[in-house]
Amino acid sequence: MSILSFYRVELGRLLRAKMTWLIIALTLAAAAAPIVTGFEYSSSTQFMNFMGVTNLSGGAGGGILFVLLTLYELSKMYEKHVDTIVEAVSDPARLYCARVLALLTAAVLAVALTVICLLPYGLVKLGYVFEAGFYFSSFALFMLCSILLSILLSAALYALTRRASVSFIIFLLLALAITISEKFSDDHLVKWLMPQIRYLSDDFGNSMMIWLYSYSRFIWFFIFGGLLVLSLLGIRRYGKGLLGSFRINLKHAMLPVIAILLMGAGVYAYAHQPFYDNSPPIDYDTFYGTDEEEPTDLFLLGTELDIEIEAARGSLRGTAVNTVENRAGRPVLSTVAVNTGYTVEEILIDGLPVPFVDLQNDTNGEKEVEFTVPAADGAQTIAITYGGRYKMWTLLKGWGEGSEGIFPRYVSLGGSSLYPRIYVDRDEDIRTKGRLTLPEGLTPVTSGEINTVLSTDDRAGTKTWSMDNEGASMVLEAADYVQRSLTAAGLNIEFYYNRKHEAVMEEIGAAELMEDVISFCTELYGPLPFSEDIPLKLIQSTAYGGGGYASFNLSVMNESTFSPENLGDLEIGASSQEVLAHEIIHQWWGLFAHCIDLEDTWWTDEGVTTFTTYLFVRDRYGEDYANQHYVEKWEAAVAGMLENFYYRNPQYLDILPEQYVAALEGRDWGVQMYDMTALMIYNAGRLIGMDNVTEALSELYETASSNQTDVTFPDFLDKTGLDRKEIAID
Amino acid sequence: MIKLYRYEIKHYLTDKVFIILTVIAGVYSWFTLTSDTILGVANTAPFSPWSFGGYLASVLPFCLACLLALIATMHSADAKLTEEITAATPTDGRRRVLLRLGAVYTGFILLLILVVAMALVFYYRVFGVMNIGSLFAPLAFVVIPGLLVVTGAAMNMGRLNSGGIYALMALLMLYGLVSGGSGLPGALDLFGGGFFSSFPKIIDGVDPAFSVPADMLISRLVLTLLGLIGMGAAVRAFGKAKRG
Repeated sequence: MSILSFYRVELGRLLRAKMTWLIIALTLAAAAAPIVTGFEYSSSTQFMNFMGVTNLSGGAGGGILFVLLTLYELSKMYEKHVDTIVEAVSDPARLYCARVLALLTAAVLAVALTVICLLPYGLVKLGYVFEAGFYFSSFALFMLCSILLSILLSAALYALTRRASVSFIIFLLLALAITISEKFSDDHLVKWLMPQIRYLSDDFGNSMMIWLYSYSRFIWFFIFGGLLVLSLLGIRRYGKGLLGSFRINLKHAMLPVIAILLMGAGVYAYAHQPFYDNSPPIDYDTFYGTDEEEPTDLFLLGTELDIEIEAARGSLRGTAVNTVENRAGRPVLSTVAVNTGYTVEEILIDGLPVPFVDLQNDTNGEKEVEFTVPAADGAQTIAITYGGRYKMWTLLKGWGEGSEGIFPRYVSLGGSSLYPRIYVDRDEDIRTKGRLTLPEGLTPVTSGEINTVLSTDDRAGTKTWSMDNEGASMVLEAADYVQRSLTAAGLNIEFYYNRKHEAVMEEIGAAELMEDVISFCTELYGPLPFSEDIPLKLIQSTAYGGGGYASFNLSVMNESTFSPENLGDLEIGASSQEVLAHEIIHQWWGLFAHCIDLEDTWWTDEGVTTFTTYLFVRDRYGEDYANQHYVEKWEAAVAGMLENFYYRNPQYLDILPEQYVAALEGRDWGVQMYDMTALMIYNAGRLIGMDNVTEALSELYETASSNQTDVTFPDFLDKTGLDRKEIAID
Repeated sequence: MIKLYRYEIKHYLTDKVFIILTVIAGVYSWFTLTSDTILGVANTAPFSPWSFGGYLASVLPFCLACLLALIATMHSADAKLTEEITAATPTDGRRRVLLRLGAVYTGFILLLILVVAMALVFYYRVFGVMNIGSLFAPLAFVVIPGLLVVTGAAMNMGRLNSGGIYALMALLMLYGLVSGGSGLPGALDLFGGGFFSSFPKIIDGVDPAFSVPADMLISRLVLTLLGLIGMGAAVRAFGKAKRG
């Protein structure tokens, strides 16, 4: 009998068994459990709180249930001692494969029933947010694949061990240890049973998660498939043990070859994943600006860009023409930094090609390319043609996937990810401008002036837009945006939000809340110097963004900030309002005035911005509320840092793996920059009065923004008349 | 009786299942120590009684799953066939069950010794610390209630349906997964994982000495009692069934 014939018989038998239908029903119940129990992630999206949670619980629960069914079905023949009869008339390996195929089919049936049963609830719960394509594909990718992989692994384990209990325990360990261990906490590619998803975007697409987990599934189907093929050699023959049966089964010479090829392909795919670069862990001391840039003798006069983005392929191609002056009077070795996924194709200086070297030295999410700029009188143009598929900085691994990059429905690029960043000394009054071609459905928002359509190519389905920014860099956000003009405290504001979110934006009064923050800060620190041509741009971004960021005249806030639950419910606490206010306040602290201190490196814009957010919330919602949701949070974070064993005993850091040291240092830096600094300013307020501290910050802002000077921690102490020890936290 | 006990010990502890599980327990313990325990629990040192308790709470579900695998062997189809013969001998059914349970527990204790030894080796090699005395309290706190509750449940489950032991195994591992840092109330925090990760933070001072609040202690006693009652019921029912 062929495998197909066995499969038909086995499937029929399996579908007649009550146990199969019990497992299918329990799998459906596992997927529905979060809905029934009302489990939801706070400050998350509707997709996450429906498709995310049901897929995670259905995948893990269904996976374990189907492993029980698999082990029950596979061991039944041996438990009932009918194996000698059955295997006398059929090839045991074929029969085993047919059984596994039948179990896989039952799993497909279970997930199909789950999808159908949850559909009406999903339609009602998600309403206008619902997307049929993502609904079906998410269940196929997350829940179904988890169950199929579980069946393959357990079937392989059982064929090798011939013990249901041992197979089950090894399965649980391989599945759960990977799910909960710190060691794999940031590695999506190994999470084969329970994907590590905290966010799913309602509005901006989820391509990154789909790409990541499709690739992860590809890896594990190869590895577990290979293991299953290998395990077929272990199917017991003629009453012999594992090794004896191996020897007999080796007559199927192709099996070990296929197994090794499959497993090798999976391991190779893991080792050569295309998503992350090879940057080493971050060095926080140098990253936060204690190293001054060395002079280059090249002076930048301006940059002209021509960039085309192929969003569906996650790639771009472009040319950056930098006009520079070589003031060294001799040839100068020059460097550009570019995203590690891009390739510099050509460098022309004044129209002539020059040799260049790609150093392949991935660091902090970019790599360097070196070339020589010849000596010349006057200006020279350096035209760099580059392109490729965007690659993520490893720092984003585990938490920031999808926040930056090129995706079919969302593009977020800045620095060397948008165009090669040339290491130069900059002259004042330079501009970065040019043309940007995007698919028709995407509207770009770049730093600087409002983007206008220059041309439309209906045949290619693209639009070309203008870009123009004062300064030597450019940041791009693009999505299916609606643009709304606002005015607050005399300031022109352009608010960009996803078309899919339009109705909700009106309903929750997001614009009014933002106007409120701007009015508060204008009263506190003075107006922002924006004009009609260069307005303040407030932008809704994907939920994967974590919080948001501010750059030039852009303040970017992630989509979960704008959900009715988050903006409408004060009891949720600081998270959502804080993100919204925080990124707007950065327009004052971070863009027009800077807190930098080479001695006290934790003194940055983040702390003052966090404290100003507290002032806003205190003013609007009262002191008790602000203290509960902000001051208590800072105190807890600072206490957590100070009390941590490795913070108290840094000599032990040497024994920790590199990834853990980087994670601990990153966490401590975050606490120091945000929570500790804000708490110190708050402590100052308790000593001299909150009004006096507010006035001191206001004066420091005015001086720093008008004189273009940095505010140091000693400046703050001088202004408040306090001693460092009085507000220090240790 | 001693002879029978020796026979049962030999039967269970030379079984391939036990040997494979012991090897896996060693590997898993070392993995947990080097990947999770090394960070310390609730800001305390990785070698503090709290971190040791957290480590035990992480690996105990696995050790208990191994115990369940041995109990499943007690209730397997082969064991039931053998029982038909041994039941015909002039030995007391309850005693036979207790003997088997003793053998299974011996296996579990050996597994536990391995798990604790791994931690001691880890503390000494990595941190140069060897303070065995401070580890007994968290050991008893974590192991005794969990062991008795799971044994009681498994013996009753195995008596009714041996397949149910596998479901219990899955539940146990899943429970271990979700209960770690969940802050479950004392009575539901079977292995104390939530307790170890939260209680030290509310005690004043850093690296506090190991202590257990009264409500948590009562919950341990209640769980221990429940486990004993469950085991007693199973042994009694087993004896009755055999007499019948």
